[in-house]
Amino acid sequence: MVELLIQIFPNLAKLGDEFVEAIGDTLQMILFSGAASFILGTFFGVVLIVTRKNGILQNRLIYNVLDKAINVIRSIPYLILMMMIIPLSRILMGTGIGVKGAIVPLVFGTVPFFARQIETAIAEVDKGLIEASQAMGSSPWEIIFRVYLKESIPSIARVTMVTAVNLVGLTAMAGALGSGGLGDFAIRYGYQRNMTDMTYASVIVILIMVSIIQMIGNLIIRKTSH
Amino acid sequence: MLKLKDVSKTFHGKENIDAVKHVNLEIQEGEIFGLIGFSGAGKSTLIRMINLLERPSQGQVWIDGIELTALNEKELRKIRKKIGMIFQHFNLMRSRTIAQNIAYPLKRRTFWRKNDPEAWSKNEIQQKVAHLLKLVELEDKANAYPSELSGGQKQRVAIARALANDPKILLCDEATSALDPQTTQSILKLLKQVNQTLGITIVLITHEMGVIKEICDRVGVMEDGEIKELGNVVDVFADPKETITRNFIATTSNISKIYELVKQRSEITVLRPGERMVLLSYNTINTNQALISQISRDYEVDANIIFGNIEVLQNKPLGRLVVIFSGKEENIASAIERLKAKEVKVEEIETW
Repeated sequence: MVELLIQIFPNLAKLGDEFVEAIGDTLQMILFSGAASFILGTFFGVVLIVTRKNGILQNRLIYNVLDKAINVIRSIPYLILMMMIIPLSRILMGTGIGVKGAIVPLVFGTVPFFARQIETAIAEVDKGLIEASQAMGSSPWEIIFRVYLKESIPSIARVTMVTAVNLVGLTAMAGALGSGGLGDFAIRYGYQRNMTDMTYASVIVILIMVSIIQMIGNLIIRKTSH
Repeated sequence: MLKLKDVSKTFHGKENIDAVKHVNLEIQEGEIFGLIGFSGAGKSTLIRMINLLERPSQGQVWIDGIELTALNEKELRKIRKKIGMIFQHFNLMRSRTIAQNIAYPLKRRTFWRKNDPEAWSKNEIQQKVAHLLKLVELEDKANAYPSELSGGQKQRVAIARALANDPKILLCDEATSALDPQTTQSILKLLKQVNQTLGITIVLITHEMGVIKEICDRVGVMEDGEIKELGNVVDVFADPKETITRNFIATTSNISKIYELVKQRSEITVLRPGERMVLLSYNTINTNQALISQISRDYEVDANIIFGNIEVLQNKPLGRLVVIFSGKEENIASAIERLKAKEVKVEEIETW
């Protein structure tokens, strides 16, 4: 098995350890920035829904500020956004490079996109349901958790899956700014040293990651749709 | 128990729309009150102002001596638990089973609500839900999801959910409009049962006169944001005052068809010389007697009933008959006088 791998990927023999480390780095980046983005994105998505016009906590100021901020951040090309955020990352994480330095830029790249996705997912909840729960004396807090979020679990699973796949792409791009991980690995060896086999190896691992994310997502959607 | 005092609602937009205009309405405890109107009449807005899903632009809403329009959000939420509401499209939660949907409005006893006297333990909730499922005859569907139910069953679940907190009032927003006639009947029967056995006051809105006829004690007819006519269902049916009311009544009887037949000079409406065609309207007071056969004998006139509609409203018959009288002219005249004396409304139908 190992022999076969080395035949197909000749450079894996000497770069094996580094490759495994790169996979670990990528997983760490996905996990940490993914968790942070999920929480923040869900929060902002919910804020968008409840503060919009005729929302349960309608607030024009909050809605407009958040709405515009998301649009602005989303319109900045990610490579440039990453560079812009390095100083902020230094303040928050103490460094601008490596896995630790990549988390903040990744969160910035993911949250606005995810918040929009969550907004769309929750917007699918029938407004009759909201009316019914208001009529039953539910508080805004209850409506958010027991109706909006609970009812849109399948949709949230779907958009989380899409965003997670997106995030895998971003971690690879973060490699260009020295974040470590598979993107960095593929650039340094596959591109700069012309070890094409290492590029393919990275791609294959990323492909597997994406497939696993999609499998989990589809499973959740299937289990929660009625 | 429920009082609307001079309530109005204006929606502000490109154009301001006065959806409800200065409505005063009092609903008694234990009655079934129906509001009927075509879409856009403001009935939907009006019923939503009872539990303040729509805040009136003006006026007050009182329930059991409490002014709802003066309460803050928190107090209002507490009162809303005692006002059940069901909707045209049922509004059940797809992600919850039937039992979970019914349990939704019940406040659960949780760690941080340990000593809340209004909170329900898991066991109590289970019992309550089982009881409600039995009431709406869906015991076997506890663990099904709403998507597995028919429209009528969904509305039954919605009724059970609305009753979970033992409300005093049940608001029904076009509750049967999305259902077929047979299912409508069964839902109306259930509502009537809820009203009679639990003593819950019901306020319903509909555009179907049949619904009013079937279960309501009193009816209000709405048009252009105002209640144009208000009264006991029998009285309103027997003697409608407003055109809009007549139009609604016409939708449930076929009697208005006679005028069209006359216009089209249908064969059955062509009179021979000496014949007269009249529309007789009668109600409870005079239906116990065999009036038509009596006058026919007493005055030697033949009465040919060509068209008729007889309703039974709250156990009282209410009839409209189109009759062609033939016989001697003076005999027909005396027969008609006799009918009028018995308080039968007689309208001459002009023919060609």
